[in-house]
Amino acid sequence: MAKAYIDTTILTNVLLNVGQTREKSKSALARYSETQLPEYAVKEFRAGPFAAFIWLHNELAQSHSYGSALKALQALFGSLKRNMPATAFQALVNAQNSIGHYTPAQLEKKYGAHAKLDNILCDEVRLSLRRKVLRAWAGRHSIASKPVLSLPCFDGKGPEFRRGIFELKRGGCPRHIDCSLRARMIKRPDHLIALRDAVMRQPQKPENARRLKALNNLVRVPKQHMNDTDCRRLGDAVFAFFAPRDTRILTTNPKDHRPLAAALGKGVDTP
Amino acid sequence: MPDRDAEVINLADYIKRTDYSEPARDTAEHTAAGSKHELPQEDTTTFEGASKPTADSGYMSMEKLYPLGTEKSPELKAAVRLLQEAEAFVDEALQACRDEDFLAAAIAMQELKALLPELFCCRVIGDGFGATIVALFHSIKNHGDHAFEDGQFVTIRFLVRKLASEPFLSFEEAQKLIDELEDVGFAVESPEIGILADIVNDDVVGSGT
Repeated sequence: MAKAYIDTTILTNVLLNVGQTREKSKSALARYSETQLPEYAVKEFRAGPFAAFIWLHNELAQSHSYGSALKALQALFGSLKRNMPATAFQALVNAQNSIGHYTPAQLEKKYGAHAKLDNILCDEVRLSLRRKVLRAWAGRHSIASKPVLSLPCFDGKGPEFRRGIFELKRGGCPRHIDCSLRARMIKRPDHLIALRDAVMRQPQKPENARRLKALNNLVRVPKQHMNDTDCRRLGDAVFAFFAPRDTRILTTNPKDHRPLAAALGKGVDTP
Repeated sequence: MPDRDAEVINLADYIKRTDYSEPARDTAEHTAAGSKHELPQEDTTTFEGASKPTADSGYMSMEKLYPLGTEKSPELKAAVRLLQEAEAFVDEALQACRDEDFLAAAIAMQELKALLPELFCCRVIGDGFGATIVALFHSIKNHGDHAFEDGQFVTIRFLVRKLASEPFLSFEEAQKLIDELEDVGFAVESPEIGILADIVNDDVVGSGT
């Protein structure tokens, strides 16, 4: 049986998602004789989807309003120059599965604000996110059989719950320390060039432009220290570079992974 | 509104230090400081074969445990009443299931589900309480049209009794109860959490700027 090299999307699905999406990723992991989880995936998970869940939990805790938190979520996407799918946002607004929709209006007389839909939704989602965050962090290493690609420059600290919110230090890599991936990557300039050329052939989009910039730096000035920003910009290239030849990169985003993996003769699987 | 961080509520205002006719079934966490009550042995018959609590079973009612609490907190008073109803519905459902009267069991679960929204309105009691109620609601809702199994009824009954005797349970204690729901096959979360996970799992969210 093959071995899997797990990317951030699979980690996110197993730790944060629910229902069929989660089960599909879990079932996919069960197909392999060995599942390798690079610490880089944990790092990206912590800085990306995990931090987003924490942000939303804290927004709900501080605004006490589901509607306000959703508006803030929309604004956050705008500031990151990302598009939130309209159908997904509308589904969140409707929250048709909420316990609030089963709460009779007459309970408002008895329970006041605690029986109002916005307040109910706020607490319902906040409590679910709080559980998700705690469980996800506790279980982050248990989804795979083998941790790989350790990053001595990544502190890997989890969130702390204080004053009703989660505190998550930005963490990542300390500014004054050289990225530990750089020293390993510059040993294979041929791989870096192959990856760079593969990225150049990809559609123009901000993520690819950032990745190209980071790869170009490694190719042209290999001895220059790499900071956390460039480390994160590498993204999918890290998985393509470091995945052992006897593994398959497991991801829900084959579109971006395949060209990079193919450039180094590696394979990609999806759930 | 109580501070959400105060997971263990000081019960000194609620519990009189007088003799009770029945021993308290409680954890050290929820016993008022300085209480001279000895904690009874853990009731090991909570799951299979557990009967309704009686005066001799070591189970203390909410009114005895928190004699002033229900007066000072209308939400606690409502929760006490609703949890008693909830336990009755689960008992009915469990017995009906064992008698293979699946229609009666289904109706009893409908009745249980109907009172959970009002129980959630009492969530000012604490985050542990609120988290448990909403997880139970989604467990039943997500179960859809499938028949409940004996073990699932037993777990729900354990959870309801636990809440009734420890309404101020901590968030961490609540997670253990919710884990028990997952262990018997329930999906404890709302599908909306999945929508959020899909949004943040977009490969570009959070990637380096």
